[in-house]
Amino acid sequence: MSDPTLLVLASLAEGEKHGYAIIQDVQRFAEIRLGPGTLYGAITRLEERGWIRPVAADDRRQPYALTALGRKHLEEQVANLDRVLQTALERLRHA
Amino acid sequence: MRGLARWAVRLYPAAWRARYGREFEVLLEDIGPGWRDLRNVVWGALKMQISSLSFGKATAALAIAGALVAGFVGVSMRNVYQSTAVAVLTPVWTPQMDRREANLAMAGRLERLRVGALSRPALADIINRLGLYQKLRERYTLEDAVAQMQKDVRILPIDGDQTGERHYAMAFLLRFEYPDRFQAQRVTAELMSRLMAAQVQDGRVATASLEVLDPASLPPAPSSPNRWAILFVGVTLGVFSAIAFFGARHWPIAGVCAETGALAGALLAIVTRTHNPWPIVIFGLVCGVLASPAAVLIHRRLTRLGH
Repeated sequence: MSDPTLLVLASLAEGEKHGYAIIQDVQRFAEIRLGPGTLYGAITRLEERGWIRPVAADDRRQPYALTALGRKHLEEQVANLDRVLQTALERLRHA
Repeated sequence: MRGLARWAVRLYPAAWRARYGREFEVLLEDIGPGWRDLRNVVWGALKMQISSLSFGKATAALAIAGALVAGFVGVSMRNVYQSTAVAVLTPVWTPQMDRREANLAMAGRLERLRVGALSRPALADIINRLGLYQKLRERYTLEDAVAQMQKDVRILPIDGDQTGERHYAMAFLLRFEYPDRFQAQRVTAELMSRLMAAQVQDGRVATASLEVLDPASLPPAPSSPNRWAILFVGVTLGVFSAIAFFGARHWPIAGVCAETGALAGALLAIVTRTHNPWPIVIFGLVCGVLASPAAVLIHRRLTRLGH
Protein backbone atom coordinates (compact mmCIF):
# COMPACT_ATOMS: atom_id res chain seq x y z
CA MET A 1 0.00 0.00 0.00
CA SER A 2 2.89 2.34 -0.71
CA ASP A 3 2.18 2.90 -4.41
CA PRO A 4 2.35 6.73 -4.76
CA THR A 5 -0.30 6.81 -7.51
CA LEU A 6 -2.79 4.96 -5.32
CA LEU A 7 -2.01 7.24 -2.38
CA VAL A 8 -2.57 10.34 -4.53
CA LEU A 9 -5.84 8.93 -5.88
CA ALA A 10 -6.95 8.11 -2.34
CA SER A 11 -6.14 11.64 -1.26
CA LEU A 12 -7.99 13.23 -4.16
CA ALA A 13 -11.03 11.04 -3.52
CA GLU A 14 -11.82 13.49 -0.72
CA GLY A 15 -11.80 16.47 -3.10
CA GLU A 16 -9.46 18.58 -5.16
CA LYS A 17 -6.04 19.34 -3.64
CA HIS A 18 -2.74 20.91 -4.64
CA GLY A 19 0.61 19.17 -4.25
CA TYR A 20 1.46 20.35 -0.74
CA ALA A 21 -2.02 19.48 0.53
CA ILE A 22 -1.70 15.98 -0.97
CA ILE A 23 1.65 15.46 0.81
CA GLN A 24 0.16 16.52 4.14
CA ASP A 25 -2.98 14.42 3.65
CA VAL A 26 -1.06 11.27 2.68
CA GLN A 27 1.22 11.75 5.67
CA ARG A 28 -1.86 11.97 7.90
CA PHE A 29 -3.83 8.95 6.66
CA ALA A 30 -1.00 6.62 5.51
CA GLU A 31 1.93 7.89 7.62
CA ILE A 32 4.01 8.05 4.45
CA ARG A 33 5.80 11.22 3.44
CA LEU A 34 5.80 11.57 -0.32
CA GLY A 35 8.87 13.39 -1.62
CA PRO A 36 8.25 16.18 -4.15
CA GLY A 37 9.86 14.16 -6.96
CA THR A 38 7.78 11.09 -6.13
CA LEU A 39 4.57 13.13 -5.90
CA TYR A 40 5.03 14.82 -9.24
CA GLY A 41 6.12 11.56 -10.86
CA ALA A 42 2.78 10.12 -9.73
CA ILE A 43 0.83 13.25 -10.77
CA THR A 44 2.43 13.13 -14.25
CA ARG A 45 1.50 9.50 -14.72
CA LEU A 46 -2.02 9.91 -13.37
CA GLU A 47 -2.69 12.88 -15.63
CA GLU A 48 -1.30 11.01 -18.67
CA ARG A 49 -3.73 8.18 -17.94
CA GLY A 50 -6.62 10.58 -17.53
CA TRP A 51 -7.24 9.60 -13.90
CA ILE A 52 -6.77 13.13 -12.56
CA ARG A 53 -7.06 16.61 -14.09
CA PRO A 54 -5.82 20.07 -13.15
CA VAL A 55 -8.51 22.47 -12.00
CA ALA A 56 -8.62 26.27 -11.98
CA ALA A 57 -6.42 27.76 -9.25
CA ASP A 58 -6.87 30.90 -7.13
CA ASP A 59 -3.16 31.22 -6.42
CA ARG A 60 0.13 29.85 -7.80
CA ARG A 61 -0.57 26.39 -6.40
CA GLN A 62 -2.10 24.00 -8.94
CA PRO A 63 -4.91 21.82 -7.56
CA TYR A 64 -5.90 18.49 -9.08
CA ALA A 65 -9.17 16.60 -9.05
CA LEU A 66 -10.12 12.98 -9.62
CA THR A 67 -11.76 12.22 -12.99
CA ALA A 68 -14.58 9.70 -13.43
CA LEU A 69 -12.03 7.28 -14.93
CA GLY A 70 -9.73 7.82 -11.96
CA ARG A 71 -12.57 7.22 -9.50
CA LYS A 72 -13.44 3.95 -11.29
CA HIS A 73 -9.81 2.82 -11.20
CA LEU A 74 -9.53 3.69 -7.51
CA GLU A 75 -12.70 1.74 -6.74
CA GLU A 76 -11.32 -1.31 -8.55
CA GLN A 77 -8.01 -1.05 -6.73
CA VAL A 78 -9.70 -0.67 -3.37
CA ALA A 79 -11.95 -3.66 -4.10
CA ASN A 80 -8.90 -5.75 -4.96
CA LEU A 81 -7.07 -4.64 -1.83
CA ASP A 82 -10.16 -5.33 0.23
CA ARG A 83 -10.35 -8.88 -1.12
CA VAL A 84 -6.70 -9.46 -0.25
CA LEU A 85 -7.16 -8.02 3.24
CA GLN A 86 -10.32 -10.06 3.90
CA THR A 87 -8.57 -13.25 2.76
CA ALA A 88 -5.53 -12.51 4.91
CA LEU A 89 -7.71 -11.76 7.94
CA GLU A 90 -9.72 -14.96 7.53
CA ARG A 91 -6.60 -17.05 7.17
CA LEU A 92 -5.02 -15.44 10.20
CA ARG A 93 -8.11 -16.22 12.24
CA HIS A 94 -8.04 -19.89 11.24
CA ALA A 95 -4.28 -20.31 11.48
CA MET B 1 18.88 24.32 0.04
CA ARG B 2 15.89 25.91 -1.66
CA GLY B 3 18.18 27.28 -4.35
CA LEU B 4 19.75 23.86 -4.84
CA ALA B 5 16.35 22.22 -5.14
CA ARG B 6 15.25 24.86 -7.64
CA TRP B 7 18.40 24.17 -9.63
CA ALA B 8 17.65 20.42 -9.50
CA VAL B 9 14.31 21.11 -11.22
CA ARG B 10 16.39 21.93 -14.32
CA LEU B 11 17.39 18.27 -14.44
CA TYR B 12 13.85 17.37 -15.52
CA PRO B 13 13.11 17.12 -19.26
CA ALA B 14 12.30 20.49 -20.87
CA ALA B 15 8.82 19.36 -21.95
CA TRP B 16 8.01 18.28 -18.40
CA ARG B 17 9.31 21.57 -16.98
CA ALA B 18 7.16 23.52 -19.42
CA ARG B 19 4.06 21.73 -18.10
CA TYR B 20 4.82 21.21 -14.39
CA GLY B 21 7.88 23.38 -13.67
CA ARG B 22 6.16 26.39 -12.16
CA GLU B 23 3.81 24.47 -9.85
CA PHE B 24 6.66 22.15 -8.85
CA GLU B 25 8.76 25.12 -7.76
CA VAL B 26 5.80 26.44 -5.76
CA LEU B 27 5.57 23.05 -4.04
CA LEU B 28 9.28 23.19 -3.21
CA GLU B 29 8.77 26.66 -1.67
CA ASP B 30 5.88 25.25 0.41
CA ILE B 31 7.71 22.25 1.80
CA GLY B 32 11.07 24.00 2.48
CA PRO B 33 13.16 21.12 1.05
CA GLY B 34 15.84 19.32 3.05
CA TRP B 35 18.57 16.99 1.80
CA ARG B 36 16.12 14.13 1.58
CA ASP B 37 13.82 16.18 -0.63
CA LEU B 38 16.71 17.31 -2.79
CA ARG B 39 17.72 13.69 -3.31
CA ASN B 40 14.11 12.84 -4.11
CA VAL B 41 13.92 15.65 -6.69
CA VAL B 42 17.17 14.54 -8.38
CA TRP B 43 16.02 10.91 -8.40
CA GLY B 44 12.62 11.96 -9.77
CA ALA B 45 14.36 13.93 -12.53
CA LEU B 46 16.47 10.91 -13.45
CA LYS B 47 13.39 8.69 -13.63
CA MET B 48 11.55 11.27 -15.70
CA GLN B 49 14.49 11.55 -18.09
CA ILE B 50 14.55 7.76 -18.53
CA SER B 51 10.82 7.58 -19.19
CA SER B 52 10.88 10.44 -21.70
CA LEU B 53 13.88 9.20 -23.70
CA SER B 54 13.23 8.44 -27.35
CA PHE B 55 14.63 5.24 -28.84
CA GLY B 56 17.38 7.14 -30.66
CA LYS B 57 18.46 9.10 -27.59
CA ALA B 58 18.31 6.03 -25.35
CA THR B 59 20.38 4.04 -27.85
CA ALA B 60 22.96 6.82 -28.05
CA ALA B 61 23.04 7.21 -24.25
CA LEU B 62 23.40 3.48 -23.61
CA ALA B 63 26.03 3.15 -26.36
CA ILE B 64 28.03 5.97 -24.75
CA ALA B 65 27.56 4.38 -21.31
CA GLY B 66 28.72 1.04 -22.73
CA ALA B 67 31.74 2.73 -24.30
CA LEU B 68 32.62 4.44 -21.01
CA VAL B 69 32.35 1.21 -19.01
CA ALA B 70 34.33 -0.67 -21.68
CA GLY B 71 36.92 2.11 -21.72
CA PHE B 72 37.29 1.90 -17.97
CA VAL B 73 37.58 -1.89 -18.10
CA GLY B 74 40.08 -1.69 -20.97
CA VAL B 75 42.25 0.89 -19.22
CA SER B 76 42.19 -0.98 -15.92
CA MET B 77 43.37 -4.22 -17.57
CA ARG B 78 47.14 -4.62 -17.63
CA ASN B 79 49.04 -5.14 -20.86
CA VAL B 80 50.27 -8.63 -21.59
CA TYR B 81 53.13 -9.29 -24.00
CA GLN B 82 53.67 -12.51 -25.88
CA SER B 83 57.18 -13.65 -26.70
CA THR B 84 57.49 -16.60 -29.05
CA ALA B 85 60.21 -18.90 -30.31
CA VAL B 86 59.98 -21.62 -32.96
CA ALA B 87 61.94 -24.85 -32.97
CA VAL B 88 61.78 -28.07 -34.92
CA LEU B 89 62.25 -31.67 -33.84
CA THR B 90 63.60 -33.72 -36.73
CA PRO B 91 63.80 -37.51 -36.53
CA VAL B 92 66.87 -39.23 -37.88
CA TRP B 93 65.65 -40.48 -41.25
CA THR B 94 65.47 -44.19 -42.01
CA PRO B 95 63.98 -45.56 -45.26
CA GLN B 96 61.60 -47.89 -43.45
CA MET B 97 60.18 -45.04 -41.41
CA ASP B 98 56.41 -44.70 -41.65
CA ARG B 99 54.81 -41.21 -41.43
CA ARG B 100 52.31 -42.16 -38.71
CA GLU B 101 54.97 -43.79 -36.54
CA ALA B 102 57.29 -40.82 -37.02
CA ASN B 103 54.53 -38.38 -36.06
CA LEU B 104 53.71 -40.35 -32.94
CA ALA B 105 57.37 -40.63 -32.02
CA MET B 106 57.93 -36.87 -32.43
CA ALA B 107 54.77 -36.02 -30.49
CA GLY B 108 55.94 -38.30 -27.69
CA ARG B 109 59.39 -36.76 -27.76
CA LEU B 110 57.96 -33.24 -27.61
CA GLU B 111 55.73 -34.20 -24.69
CA ARG B 112 58.71 -35.61 -22.77
CA LEU B 113 60.68 -32.43 -23.42
CA ARG B 114 57.72 -30.31 -22.37
CA VAL B 115 57.24 -32.22 -19.11
CA GLY B 116 60.94 -31.93 -18.30
CA ALA B 117 61.31 -28.24 -19.14
CA LEU B 118 58.06 -27.13 -17.53
CA SER B 119 58.38 -29.22 -14.40
CA ARG B 120 57.60 -27.56 -11.12
CA PRO B 121 61.27 -27.32 -9.92
CA ALA B 122 62.36 -25.94 -13.32
CA LEU B 123 59.69 -23.21 -13.33
CA ALA B 124 60.25 -22.40 -9.64
CA ASP B 125 63.95 -21.92 -10.42
CA ILE B 126 63.16 -19.52 -13.30
CA ILE B 127 60.67 -17.60 -11.16
CA ASN B 128 63.24 -17.16 -8.38
CA ARG B 129 66.14 -16.27 -10.63
CA LEU B 130 64.29 -13.76 -12.84
CA GLY B 131 62.06 -12.40 -10.05
CA LEU B 132 58.80 -13.18 -11.85
CA TYR B 133 55.24 -12.74 -10.52
CA GLN B 134 56.30 -10.38 -7.72
CA LYS B 135 52.76 -9.12 -6.98
CA LEU B 136 51.33 -12.62 -7.01
CA ARG B 137 54.05 -13.81 -4.67
CA GLU B 138 53.38 -10.97 -2.22
CA ARG B 139 49.95 -12.50 -1.58
CA TYR B 140 50.34 -16.15 -2.47
CA THR B 141 52.92 -18.93 -2.39
CA LEU B 142 55.56 -19.95 -4.88
CA GLU B 143 53.32 -22.88 -5.80
CA ASP B 144 50.65 -20.43 -7.00
CA ALA B 145 53.23 -18.58 -9.08
CA VAL B 146 54.34 -21.87 -10.65
CA ALA B 147 50.71 -22.76 -11.40
CA GLN B 148 50.24 -19.34 -13.03
CA MET B 149 53.40 -19.76 -15.08
CA GLN B 150 52.25 -23.17 -16.29
CA LYS B 151 49.16 -21.38 -17.66
CA ASP B 152 51.26 -18.64 -19.26
CA VAL B 153 53.58 -21.02 -21.11
CA ARG B 154 52.29 -22.78 -24.21
CA ILE B 155 53.99 -25.27 -26.50
CA LEU B 156 51.95 -25.59 -29.65
CA PRO B 157 52.73 -27.91 -32.57
CA ILE B 158 52.87 -26.10 -35.89
CA ASP B 159 51.37 -27.42 -39.09
CA GLY B 160 53.81 -29.73 -40.93
CA ASP B 161 53.83 -27.47 -44.00
CA GLN B 162 56.02 -25.01 -42.17
CA THR B 163 58.82 -27.52 -41.71
CA GLY B 164 59.63 -27.46 -45.38
CA GLU B 165 61.43 -30.43 -46.86
CA ARG B 166 62.43 -32.01 -43.56
CA HIS B 167 61.29 -35.63 -43.31
CA TYR B 168 58.47 -35.95 -40.77
CA ALA B 169 59.81 -33.11 -38.69
CA MET B 170 57.62 -31.58 -36.02
CA ALA B 171 57.87 -27.83 -35.61
CA PHE B 172 56.47 -26.20 -32.51
CA LEU B 173 55.93 -22.79 -31.12
CA LEU B 174 56.99 -21.90 -27.59
CA ARG B 175 55.00 -18.96 -26.24
CA PHE B 176 55.16 -17.11 -22.95
CA GLU B 177 52.85 -14.29 -21.83
CA TYR B 178 53.91 -11.72 -19.26
CA PRO B 179 53.19 -8.05 -18.42
CA ASP B 180 56.87 -7.08 -18.98
CA ARG B 181 57.96 -7.58 -22.59
CA PHE B 182 61.69 -7.90 -21.76
CA GLN B 183 60.97 -10.49 -19.10
CA ALA B 184 58.69 -12.29 -21.55
CA GLN B 185 61.57 -12.54 -24.02
CA ARG B 186 64.06 -13.56 -21.32
CA VAL B 187 61.80 -16.35 -20.05
CA THR B 188 61.06 -17.65 -23.55
CA ALA B 189 64.79 -17.82 -24.30
CA GLU B 190 65.42 -19.55 -20.97
CA LEU B 191 62.66 -22.09 -21.59
CA MET B 192 63.95 -22.81 -25.08
CA SER B 193 67.47 -23.43 -23.79
CA ARG B 194 66.00 -25.76 -21.18
CA LEU B 195 64.20 -27.67 -23.93
CA MET B 196 67.52 -27.94 -25.78
CA ALA B 197 69.26 -29.16 -22.64
CA ALA B 198 66.50 -31.70 -22.02
CA GLN B 199 66.87 -32.96 -25.60
CA VAL B 200 70.61 -33.41 -25.15
CA GLN B 201 70.08 -35.28 -21.87
CA ASP B 202 67.43 -37.54 -23.41
CA GLY B 203 68.77 -41.03 -23.87
CA ARG B 204 67.22 -41.31 -27.33
CA VAL B 205 69.15 -38.30 -28.64
CA ALA B 206 70.34 -40.24 -31.64
CA THR B 207 66.82 -40.62 -33.05
CA ALA B 208 65.99 -36.92 -33.36
CA SER B 209 67.51 -33.47 -33.30
CA LEU B 210 66.13 -30.21 -31.96
CA GLU B 211 66.90 -27.01 -33.80
CA VAL B 212 65.78 -23.46 -33.05
CA LEU B 213 64.33 -21.81 -36.15
CA ASP B 214 63.29 -18.50 -34.56
CA PRO B 215 64.83 -17.33 -31.28
CA ALA B 216 62.74 -15.73 -28.53
CA SER B 217 61.11 -12.57 -29.90
CA LEU B 218 60.92 -9.21 -28.17
CA PRO B 219 57.22 -8.36 -28.49
CA PRO B 220 56.84 -4.83 -29.90
CA ALA B 221 53.24 -4.37 -28.70
CA PRO B 222 50.96 -5.98 -26.13
CA SER B 223 49.03 -9.00 -27.35
CA SER B 224 46.17 -8.33 -24.99
CA PRO B 225 43.89 -6.79 -23.97
CA ASN B 226 42.38 -5.90 -27.32
CA ARG B 227 40.94 -2.55 -26.24
CA TRP B 228 39.18 -1.91 -29.54
CA ALA B 229 37.36 -5.23 -29.24
CA ILE B 230 36.38 -4.40 -25.64
CA LEU B 231 35.12 -0.98 -26.74
CA PHE B 232 33.19 -2.55 -29.59
CA VAL B 233 31.59 -5.08 -27.22
CA GLY B 234 30.69 -2.27 -24.75
CA VAL B 235 29.04 -0.12 -27.42
CA THR B 236 27.22 -3.08 -28.95
CA LEU B 237 25.92 -4.24 -25.58
CA GLY B 238 24.69 -0.68 -24.95
CA VAL B 239 22.80 -0.73 -28.25
CA PHE B 240 21.41 -4.21 -27.51
CA SER B 241 20.24 -3.01 -24.09
CA ALA B 242 18.35 -0.14 -25.75
CA ILE B 243 16.79 -2.54 -28.25
CA ALA B 244 15.85 -4.95 -25.46
CA PHE B 245 14.41 -2.20 -23.25
CA PHE B 246 12.37 -0.50 -25.94
CA GLY B 247 11.48 -3.74 -27.69
CA ALA B 248 10.09 -5.05 -24.43
CA ARG B 249 7.57 -2.23 -24.42
CA HIS B 250 6.05 -3.48 -27.64
CA TRP B 251 6.93 -7.15 -28.09
CA PRO B 252 6.60 -10.23 -25.89
CA ILE B 253 9.51 -10.26 -23.51
CA ALA B 254 10.70 -13.76 -24.43
CA GLY B 255 11.07 -12.71 -28.05
CA VAL B 256 13.17 -9.73 -27.08
CA CYS B 257 15.35 -11.84 -24.78
CA ALA B 258 15.82 -14.49 -27.46
CA GLU B 259 16.73 -11.80 -29.98
CA THR B 260 19.20 -10.20 -27.58
CA GLY B 261 20.73 -13.58 -26.69
CA ALA B 262 21.10 -14.54 -30.34
CA LEU B 263 22.66 -11.18 -31.21
CA ALA B 264 25.04 -11.44 -28.24
CA GLY B 265 25.96 -14.97 -29.39
CA ALA B 266 26.60 -13.70 -32.92
CA LEU B 267 28.74 -10.89 -31.53
CA LEU B 268 30.73 -13.35 -29.41
CA ALA B 269 31.23 -15.56 -32.44
CA ILE B 270 32.56 -12.57 -34.42
CA VAL B 271 34.88 -11.43 -31.64
CA THR B 272 36.26 -14.93 -31.01
CA ARG B 273 36.46 -15.62 -34.78
CA THR B 274 34.81 -18.99 -34.34
CA HIS B 275 34.68 -21.11 -37.47
CA ASN B 276 31.18 -22.40 -36.73
CA PRO B 277 29.17 -19.60 -35.09
CA TRP B 278 25.79 -21.41 -35.01
CA PRO B 279 26.25 -23.30 -31.71
CA ILE B 280 27.13 -20.00 -29.98
CA VAL B 281 24.19 -18.17 -31.61
CA ILE B 282 21.77 -20.95 -30.64
CA PHE B 283 23.26 -21.09 -27.14
CA GLY B 284 22.71 -17.30 -26.86
CA LEU B 285 19.14 -17.73 -28.08
CA VAL B 286 18.40 -20.45 -25.51
CA CYS B 287 20.05 -18.39 -22.74
CA GLY B 288 17.91 -15.42 -23.81
CA VAL B 289 14.71 -17.44 -23.53
CA LEU B 290 15.78 -18.94 -20.19
CA ALA B 291 16.64 -15.47 -18.88
CA SER B 292 13.28 -14.01 -19.92
CA PRO B 293 11.60 -14.42 -16.47
CA ALA B 294 14.40 -12.38 -14.88
CA ALA B 295 14.15 -9.89 -17.75
CA VAL B 296 10.41 -9.49 -17.10
CA LEU B 297 11.15 -8.61 -13.46
CA ILE B 298 13.90 -6.14 -14.45
CA HIS B 299 11.67 -4.59 -17.10
CA ARG B 300 8.83 -4.16 -14.62
CA ARG B 301 11.20 -2.53 -12.16
CA LEU B 302 12.63 -0.21 -14.82
CA THR B 303 9.16 0.69 -16.04
CA ARG B 304 8.16 1.56 -12.49
CA LEU B 305 11.41 3.53 -12.17
CA GLY B 306 10.55 5.33 -15.38
CA HIS B 307 7.39 6.64 -13.84
